[in-house]
Amino acid sequence: MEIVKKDLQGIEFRFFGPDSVRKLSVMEVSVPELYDQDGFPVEGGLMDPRLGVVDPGMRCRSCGGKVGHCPGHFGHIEFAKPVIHVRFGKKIYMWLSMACPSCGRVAVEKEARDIYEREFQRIDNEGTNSERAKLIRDIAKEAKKHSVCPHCGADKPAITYEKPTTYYQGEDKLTPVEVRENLEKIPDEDLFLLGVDSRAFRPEWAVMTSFLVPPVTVRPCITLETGERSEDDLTHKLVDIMRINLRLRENMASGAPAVIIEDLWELLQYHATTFIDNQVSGIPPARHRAGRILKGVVQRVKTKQGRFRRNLAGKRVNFSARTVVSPDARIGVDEVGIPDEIARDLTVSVYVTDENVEQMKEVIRRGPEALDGANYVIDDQGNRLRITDFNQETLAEQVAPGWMVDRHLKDGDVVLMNRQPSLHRMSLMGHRVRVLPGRTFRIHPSICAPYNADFDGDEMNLHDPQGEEARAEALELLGVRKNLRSPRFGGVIIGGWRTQISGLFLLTQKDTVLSREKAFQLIYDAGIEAELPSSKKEITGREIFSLLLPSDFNIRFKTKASKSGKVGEDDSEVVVKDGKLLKGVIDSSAVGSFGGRILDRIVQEYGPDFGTDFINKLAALGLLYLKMRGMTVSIEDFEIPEETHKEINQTLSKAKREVRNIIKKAEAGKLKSWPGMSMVETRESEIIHTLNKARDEAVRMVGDVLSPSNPAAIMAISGARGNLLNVALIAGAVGQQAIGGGRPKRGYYSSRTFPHFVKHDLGAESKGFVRSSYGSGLNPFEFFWVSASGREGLTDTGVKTPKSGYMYRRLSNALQDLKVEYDGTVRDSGGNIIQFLYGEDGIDVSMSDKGFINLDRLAELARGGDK
Amino acid sequence: MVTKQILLNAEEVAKKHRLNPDQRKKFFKMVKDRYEEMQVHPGEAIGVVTAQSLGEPGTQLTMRTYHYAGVLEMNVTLGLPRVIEIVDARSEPKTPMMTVYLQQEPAQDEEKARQVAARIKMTSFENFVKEVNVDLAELKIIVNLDPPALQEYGVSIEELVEILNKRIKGAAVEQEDEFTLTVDTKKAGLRKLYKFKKALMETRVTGVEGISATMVSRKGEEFVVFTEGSNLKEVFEVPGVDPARTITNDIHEVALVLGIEAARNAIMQELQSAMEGAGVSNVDLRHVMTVADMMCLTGTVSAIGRYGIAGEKAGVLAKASFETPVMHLIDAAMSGEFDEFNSVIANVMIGQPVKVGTGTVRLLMKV
Repeated sequence: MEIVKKDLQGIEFRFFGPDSVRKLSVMEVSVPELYDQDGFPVEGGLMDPRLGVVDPGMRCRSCGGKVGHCPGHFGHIEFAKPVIHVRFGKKIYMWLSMACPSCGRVAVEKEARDIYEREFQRIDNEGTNSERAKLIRDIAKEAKKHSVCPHCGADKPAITYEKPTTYYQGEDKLTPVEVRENLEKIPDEDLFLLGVDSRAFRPEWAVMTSFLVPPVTVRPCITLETGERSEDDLTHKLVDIMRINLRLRENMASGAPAVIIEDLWELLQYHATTFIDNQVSGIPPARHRAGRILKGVVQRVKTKQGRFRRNLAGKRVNFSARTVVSPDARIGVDEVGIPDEIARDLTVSVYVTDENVEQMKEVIRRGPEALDGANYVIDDQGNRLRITDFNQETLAEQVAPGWMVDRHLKDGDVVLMNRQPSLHRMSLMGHRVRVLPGRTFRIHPSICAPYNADFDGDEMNLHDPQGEEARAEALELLGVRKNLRSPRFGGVIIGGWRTQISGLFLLTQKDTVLSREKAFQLIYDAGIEAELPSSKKEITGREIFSLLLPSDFNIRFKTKASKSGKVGEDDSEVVVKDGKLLKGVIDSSAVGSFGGRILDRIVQEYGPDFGTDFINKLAALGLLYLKMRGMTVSIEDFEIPEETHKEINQTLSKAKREVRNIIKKAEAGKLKSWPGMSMVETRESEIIHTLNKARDEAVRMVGDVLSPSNPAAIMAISGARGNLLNVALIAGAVGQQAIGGGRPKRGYYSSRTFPHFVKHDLGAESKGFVRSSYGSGLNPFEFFWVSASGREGLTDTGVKTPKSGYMYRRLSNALQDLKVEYDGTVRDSGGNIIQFLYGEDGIDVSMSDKGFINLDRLAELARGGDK
Repeated sequence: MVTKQILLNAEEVAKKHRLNPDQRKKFFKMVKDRYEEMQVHPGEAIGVVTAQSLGEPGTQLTMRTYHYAGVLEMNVTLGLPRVIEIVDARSEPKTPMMTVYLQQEPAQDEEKARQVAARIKMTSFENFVKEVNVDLAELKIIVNLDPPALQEYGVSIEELVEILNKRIKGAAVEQEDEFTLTVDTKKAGLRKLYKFKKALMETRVTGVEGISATMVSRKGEEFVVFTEGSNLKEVFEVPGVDPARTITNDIHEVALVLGIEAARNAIMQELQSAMEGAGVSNVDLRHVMTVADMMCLTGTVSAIGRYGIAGEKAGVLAKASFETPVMHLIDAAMSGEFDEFNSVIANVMIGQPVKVGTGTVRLLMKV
């Protein structure tokens, strides 16, 4: 195939006037029939072969091209009487009101005209689009005011407009012919006052005398399985236009009464209107025989499903794959496991050279079925040949430098992975391929954070970049290693995740000691290459974790676990000296994504490659240790002592008593209102406050009795997943449920929530307080309250998602052209300077330390401090 | 070159760590190196990064309105609705609010702060009224005043009469006896009598127009007044108010009273506090800044959307790709516009490399 390479400089937008339409047209469409009895397109009809080809094997009668080569050619229809272009309805009204019907000049005095001219010049140089639009509106308003033409002194009657295409001058209806005549009179020199460029457009063109017929390639007919032909919506509409146009012409020729002509004219107007836009307000949309609303030209272009957003701003691609993702912690974070089935389908084109010709022969010999084979070769003539069982030997013999081989994906290739919604740039990252058995993509659990993925059935897309430039960018710009740090806030977002954190937490607790054998097993499994202290019989977990750290690494900070008050003194502060973890337990504040201190420091000071390696190893270590030790959660883990139960019950009962007191006080009018609140609002606030306080108390009590070795507590304390509140909901009490920001109000009539309560009951139970816990089970009322507030949460996310999605679309649309120039300024595509120095200091957030330079750290280093 | 601010900060840090001259030299060298390492690369599509940084956490933002931190009683729109409100450049926020800082003396004394608050809060005539009667025969409104209210707001009857006469058109207010006023409504006429009565009751007597409630609260070391409703210009005039620090959450008002640079800062501050209030605290200031700069580019506050920035873009295809494509195409055809394919989206449409990032440069290789 011939490759045409062109550099497009721009597009000029102009309007096809009647002359251009005739010039562009290859034929006049004059017959309303599409096909003759034999099913061949009628000469001069709407499917005339001169308009292009859609059937394979046919040749275009205008250019001789086959399907795919002939772009199609426009035809035209000569209207028996002119027809108004709907999309200009309002503009024509404006022009008619502005121009004098006698001399055609725009009714603006000379002085004003000069001012407007200068204003247009100014706006063209430095003004905004909205200023221009406003100026045009102002001129229209001004010109409309004149009832006498300031140029010729003739009367200028007011025009009224009836949507979409009817105009009245005084009482008289203006026919399109008259409209056109009036618009023709407007001289070129006055057109700028209408915001029109006379070189691109003439107002009378908005009243069409000839009509452009799109090529058949634009409106292909589809042949159904039954052999029946089904025409495109536009073709249907064009047939309508043709029929009416013909009848109108015949009637005019035969001198039919004016009423009939007018009716037909209006029908023609209707068909031409709905061809262009079938959603015009004020007229019924044209329908298909089955009642389906036809698609007009405008409908093809408009909205999310239209040409712009569906086909131009976004395009379909080849060399992609999609399947379910599942976790695999034994591959690297920057790797992706690919099913062999997919690996055999997606290919990489390789030029055959003297260096790799033998290798390529091997690849071809393996053929399309085996792994690491190839699907196609392209010979030195440019012929693409499919490799099959029969020809793989011959092709392997023939292949020589200058050929190209489409070989299968193999380990180490670069691919792009993507999970939708693609909300930030880390939603599309470059990974290295690992071909694995199975039918799912395998991703490292630590990469879940940037993709926002989990494994409950999520699917991801894979793209196989074609070409060295794309591969280089996939690796160097989009690569996982290059995206450890978020450009949103400058912190590391890929790190320890869920089970890994639980594992490391348990491993690095003060008394975790492993036998030498187990320790060896663990570090071997985790792929850590380091020496263990040789003499000791027993090895502490901290010693094992220390193997991940560089030998000059020093850090000291309070752990997240210490905040729970559940860990001992020794575990609550991390102290690393010379790469040895001396004190402290490793939790999410140390190695977690979103702000793990050790992780942040390592990525910052030892670079992303070391950082990636660190993440891989800590993930493996955490997971494998947890696997070795074992951790399960069962319902028993949420059982709390009888006394605690009693205490919680007492607290809740006390709270309910307080609530009753508040209600009593409110009823007696003795409740002191809070500033800016009514008595009822104050009452509700105080009740909610009291009940929430009681629930918090219950949470605290559950937390107090929870053993630090409780698996749920381990997850909560280490920051692996969940928090103590979640535990308390199961073990303690669920608490007040809120609907619409307050206690449930509506229900059984207006005086109570259920018929089971007394009227006007304001007590806790009748208003959404859930005393039970999920562990003990809920009573029917409680179950209802929890369901109701749960439902509210769901509707809330349902409402919020499209809203924030639209905001994001608007933001990215407004900002997508901004970039940093070589002079350090931020400019848009029009060259306007938005900022003189990006962010006022030129710092790229994704390369910063949480948006700043960590001066303290640099000072420490300068003081000869340890790295 | 390292910015002045960073150098100043570095100087301070150097002092804090008591660096000796050698260490200082080393330190500043490190700061310079690190700063240069952190610079944005030319061609970086920072606009997209900004949009993503604000758009991505959008789903985490809550829909509900929250109470203002510190003042339990006040409702302030936060979270997603507020963020949308700001980028939309709505002409008035859903919950207009001011934070009025006070001058030295009232800022330290709660009682004096309350006095300033009372001066700011608008009281309408209604607040002073105990009973209203309408005399249809005489076309008069007879008002019985509430003496404690007069005392509370520190307004004498004479002052009240004067204020009412000044602010109500077409009516004569007279003092009948000690606590009774009569309002002659002949000019308004019988038909509009009740409408007139309503207008009378809503007439402002004291305070600042539009401020419906005030709250005195401690903020750090001092007392400040939070208001419901906003009227920056007039609050500035109230004695005891510190106009240099007093702010409102109405961006357009800031632009009008204090100018576009102030509006830019207001957008930044409001956006950040709206996000933080809803629990998204880690969006870098630079992103917020880019949005604010974009919104204030033309010298007036324009919205991020069809009627704002999107409609102002250069290039027909860029405009058409957002919303209402047909309208943009027709306008372009009429005025004979030329799209030079400078925008990202236009190049995507025609299948050419975009002119950002690695598309900024072209490399020739010598073979």
